[in-house]
Amino acid sequence: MDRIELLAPAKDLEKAKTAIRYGADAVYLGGKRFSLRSRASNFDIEDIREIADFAHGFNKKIYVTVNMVFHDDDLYGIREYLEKLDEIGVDAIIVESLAVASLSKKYAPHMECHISTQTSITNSMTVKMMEEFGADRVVLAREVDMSEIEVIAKRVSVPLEVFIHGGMCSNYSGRCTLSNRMTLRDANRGGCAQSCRWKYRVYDGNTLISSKECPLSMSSKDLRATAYIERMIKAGVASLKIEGRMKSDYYIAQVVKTYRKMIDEIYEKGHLDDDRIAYYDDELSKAENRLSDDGFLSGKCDDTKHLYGINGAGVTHEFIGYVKDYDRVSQMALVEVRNKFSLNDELEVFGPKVDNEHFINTLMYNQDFENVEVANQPMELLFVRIPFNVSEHDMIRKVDNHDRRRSY
Amino acid sequence: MELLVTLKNIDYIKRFKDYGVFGVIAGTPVFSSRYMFDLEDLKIIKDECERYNLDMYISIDTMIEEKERALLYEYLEFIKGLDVKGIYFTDLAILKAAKDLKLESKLIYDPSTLITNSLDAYFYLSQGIDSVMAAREITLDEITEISKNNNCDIDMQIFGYVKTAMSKRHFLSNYFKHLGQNYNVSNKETLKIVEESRDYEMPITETKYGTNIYTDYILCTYEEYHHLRHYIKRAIIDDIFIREDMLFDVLKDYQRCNDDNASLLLNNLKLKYYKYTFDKGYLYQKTNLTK
Repeated sequence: MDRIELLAPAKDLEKAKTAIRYGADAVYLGGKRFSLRSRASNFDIEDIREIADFAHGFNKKIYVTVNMVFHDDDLYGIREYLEKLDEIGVDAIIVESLAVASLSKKYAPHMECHISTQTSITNSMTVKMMEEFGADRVVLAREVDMSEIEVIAKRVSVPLEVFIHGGMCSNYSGRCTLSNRMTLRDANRGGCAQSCRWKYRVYDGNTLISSKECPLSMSSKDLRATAYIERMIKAGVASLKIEGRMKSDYYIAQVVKTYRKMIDEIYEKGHLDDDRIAYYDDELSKAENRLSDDGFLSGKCDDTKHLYGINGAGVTHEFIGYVKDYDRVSQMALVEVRNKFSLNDELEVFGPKVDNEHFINTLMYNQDFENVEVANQPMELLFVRIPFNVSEHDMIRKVDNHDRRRSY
Repeated sequence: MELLVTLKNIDYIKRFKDYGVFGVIAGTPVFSSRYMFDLEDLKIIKDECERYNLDMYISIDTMIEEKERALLYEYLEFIKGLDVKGIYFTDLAILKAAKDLKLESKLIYDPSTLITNSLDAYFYLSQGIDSVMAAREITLDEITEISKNNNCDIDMQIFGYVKTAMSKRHFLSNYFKHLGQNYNVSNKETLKIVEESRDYEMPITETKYGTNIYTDYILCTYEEYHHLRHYIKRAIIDDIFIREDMLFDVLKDYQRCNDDNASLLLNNLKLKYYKYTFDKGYLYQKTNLTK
């Protein structure tokens, strides 16, 4: 059986490359047209070609989202776009529209068609229907629980993709137009304003029945599937998908690396105990900016799955800069500053080949060799003493003493 | 064009015939987020429809869970035995099951939001189903274009509150549990939510299948009705949250509605039911693609 795929999102070229460097088997991204995350879609055809070449150089894959819910006017140019994606070596498109999937099969025969979660597929019958329609892979709805995933996987032959991490729609994906009504932004064509995360009063007739201090929110906690990865692998799921085409480079690196390590450990040991799962949860909390839990995977979705009066989680670590270069003799790293840090801060380096190495920041100076006590100029290049080997593309974060599940 | 009405009271059937109604859409607690008729009631509805020469349609508007697979087949067999005119469905699992049961020609695909272009409408129609339901978020021009490109095999909601979100989550009962309150929210049609900075009163319902949220306004197409007659296969009046007197006033209006009197009828409706908001939805309002 093929090893399970770890699929990561990418907002731009750098994030796509980061995802691949940190262990993703495939990345998905959106073009400037036809994608559901219009604000996240910074890739023109040449960008997509570049990242496809980069990914294939690592023997990784690239998928392009063509998953908007098309209106007639949106379809202009779609055939040429699909042909171009095929020509430049894109491995698959992710689509909601079965008509577009059919066009792709006809005009872009080398690309696979993966059916988007926008179709909200919750059962094996719909998966089979998609297979009859020519789907090469089906992304299951986030509303499906783990036991259902296991049953569906047994009953179908088309590969399944399952979300394991990131933001959750409160409503069935593709079946919500709250944003359209609230803001005239089309939720299903890339404009979702996330109106479900706003605050609402509740009335029964004319009587206010919600709390003034804690109004209704439909906002969901993020998904974190660490406790289910082993079962997903054993169930024969083909791909584990991380959500977050709007997320930062640091977030992508941390989440991808964590799941990469976890998947590899499961394959190596066959089983992870609770302590190891807790370790990986802690790793994810270093980049978590919203409270998370297991979503629908546990089979229940009660009040504990929602965010009431809470905006986000306190991350336990703060990203402070990129390693650009390192001199092994002097042990000085050239660091591109991204967030404030100081002398005597406890810092941690992680990277494709570095796993959470700690050090105390005892020496740093600028390019004029002047000592620096506080790094607070974003994009400034500073030399920082790091007492172990690091490499370009490694990232540095400041260890915070916040409680792991502090929320605000 | 045939006029259909969702059914919440069996006694309405005999009255509907006098209002130009061609058929009714019924649902049950099985695979329906509303229309709480028992299975036995469906037989009565079928008999009543035959008695008054109306067509009977069934609504299956929930997303199907894997554990409901056997029940779905059983339910469709039951529906097949009733020999209904058609089945409105939301989840393509029904297409799969209906094909297995040779029922696909009775299907009308209504995914609420997804029939937004001519090619997808054509794709689904080519599966041997009877019709597709236009998404509620597209313009009149877009509906017309889809219809022209698909032999007018398209249905459309022409009146009523419009479903704007469906969720597996039980938003209200979860919320009251969080507050430590035990407020009964199940199967009620009196609940509304209002966003803090807006004054839209959006009806919200919660059933065992989850939550549905509806528009704050009532979609009303009197002024488009004459045009739609040429392009729509079936026009649906959805009576959820609609008072009985309003429902029959509206049916009467659609019966006599034409290009000359539509605006007057609409104004009269607005005057009589001044506490309600009537709107044309997205028929003339395009939504933005970007934030």
